[in-house]
Amino acid sequence: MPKIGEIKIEKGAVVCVEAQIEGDFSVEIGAKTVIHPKARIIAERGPIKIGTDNLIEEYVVIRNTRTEPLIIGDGNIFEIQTKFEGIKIGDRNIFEVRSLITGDVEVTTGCIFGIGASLARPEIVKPKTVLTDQDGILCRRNAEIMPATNTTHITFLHRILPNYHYLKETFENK
Amino acid sequence: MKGKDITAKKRFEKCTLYDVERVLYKNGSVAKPLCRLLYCRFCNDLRYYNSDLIQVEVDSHYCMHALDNVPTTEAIMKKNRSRSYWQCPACPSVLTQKQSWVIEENPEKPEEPFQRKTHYMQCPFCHWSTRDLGIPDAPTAGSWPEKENLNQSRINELYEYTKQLSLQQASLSKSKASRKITKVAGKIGGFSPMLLNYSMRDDGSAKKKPIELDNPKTRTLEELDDLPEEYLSEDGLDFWKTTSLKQRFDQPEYQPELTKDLYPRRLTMGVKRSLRCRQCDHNLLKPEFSPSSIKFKMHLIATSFIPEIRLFKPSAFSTDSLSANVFLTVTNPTHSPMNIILLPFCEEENEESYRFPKITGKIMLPADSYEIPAKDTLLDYSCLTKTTENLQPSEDGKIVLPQPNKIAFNCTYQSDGVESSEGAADKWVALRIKHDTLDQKQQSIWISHVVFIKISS
Repeated sequence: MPKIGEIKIEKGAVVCVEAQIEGDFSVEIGAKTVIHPKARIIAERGPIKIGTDNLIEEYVVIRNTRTEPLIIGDGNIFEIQTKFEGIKIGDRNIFEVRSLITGDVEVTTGCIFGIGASLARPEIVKPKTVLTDQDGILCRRNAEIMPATNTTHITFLHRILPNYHYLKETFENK
Repeated sequence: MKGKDITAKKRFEKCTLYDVERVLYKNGSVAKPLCRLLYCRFCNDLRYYNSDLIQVEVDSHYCMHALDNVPTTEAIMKKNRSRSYWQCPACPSVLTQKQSWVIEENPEKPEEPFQRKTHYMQCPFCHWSTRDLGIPDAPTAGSWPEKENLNQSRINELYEYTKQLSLQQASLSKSKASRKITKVAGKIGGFSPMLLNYSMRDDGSAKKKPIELDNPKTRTLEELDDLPEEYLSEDGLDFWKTTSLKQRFDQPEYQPELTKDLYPRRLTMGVKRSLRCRQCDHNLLKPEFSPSSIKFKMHLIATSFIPEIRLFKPSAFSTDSLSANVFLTVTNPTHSPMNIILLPFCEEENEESYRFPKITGKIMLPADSYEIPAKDTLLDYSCLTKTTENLQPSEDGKIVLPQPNKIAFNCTYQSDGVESSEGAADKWVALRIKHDTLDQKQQSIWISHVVFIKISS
């Protein structure tokens, strides 16, 4: 584990300089993860560990309000203006635009949070659950298949983002 | 979402543009906002959309997503369903076609496997897909099998039965008419014996008994099948695997109970409809035929013919809320000058007066007649820069606004004093507006409308 307050970015991750990584505790970002400008990762009361192949878009807020480390798995997509303040995230989940997850929520694998879906009660979201907000009512569905991966989009961003943005220094370069 | 709507409504409560229910025009036995009324140029009267005086006609059927026209006969044959688009069974969205590549082994050259394109459908909103249901991917887009309706034979049976019944009814009434003819023909003579024979034969066929329909037999409670086992097991049903009522009623012919039975259905087609005045048989609303066009061949909406009355700003009530200063504007929407007279409203005692808002007081109106200049579309932009503060009335009582086709009046409201105990109730006034317009013979005529205005906030 890195020291308190240290930011560790693995080699191959694309983290824009304008991305705000704040807090008194350590933040670890895995390889191939893309973090857009203006995304905020706040290690308020405990460390945050982000895995590989994640995509974190503009105005996303990921905040750890607990003393335990917040662990985010691999291949997750956080779309614009998503807010996550839960306990843990597994692999290959999709958080669509403006989804709001506060409260003690543990997300497992292959879950989709639809546009504007909000979850505030403590819960362990089962694998492959689809939550959508239909006219203010939260609808749930158990999908049979995992959501599609978008590796092509991530590889595209890996190529394009460094052309237009300054990147934060990765761990190896230090 | 519903909560958001309420806040948006509250925000615009004081704004007449968004609060259309503030100024109502009387039309027959209802009072409706001007933007929801039509004006029949031929009868010189207002018409409301859902009234008996308007006939709705279906112009054309079209797919709302593909925007292609479908002839009426084909639309009936296809049960009003789209040819190319499908609807998600779990939510109201339209499914999108997705492609994927499948790699197959090549027995001749193992190092160069085949690549085959397959298609499946996915909902862009709730991520439901045909793979969820276990429908195999299709080699070409759109070639999806439709779910078979188990009750189709029974529906066809009933359809045939009603068809034959109506035919028999028709022939019965026809034979009555033909009997009359034969009587007359017998008296007058001159009809050929062939015709007489034909009518008599027709008469004979009507005496046939109606066909029998074997209805399903009624059953006692003991004869009913038991509930499926999953309902009775100790674990019970998984709540998230059952469908909602909305999803069930969306497909009335199947009514799936479990999410695994949800099957996509073809998108329902829309219709373009035209409206016709029943009194004069003229079209009031006629859309263009092309489904991609939102224009109208004929659109006699009342806001482009009838002077519109609006409240300019919130009415200033006195401390005892018995009198108020009401600032009204009258706009001429036509491209020709218009004379208007504002008259007091005389309440007519009839049975239907409960449908109208309860009038709580009188409004003092200017007694003169005024000419409002024509609407000038180009001037609308230049007058935007002028301010509307410190408006002073001219000698004849009207206030000239920067817009040339709009005049304003400063009127006083005097309460009847009856409702003062319940001060929170809405305060309504009524007036009669009389204006001139050109009829079909290009002659000037005067028509009048009763207008109800809510002056309290």
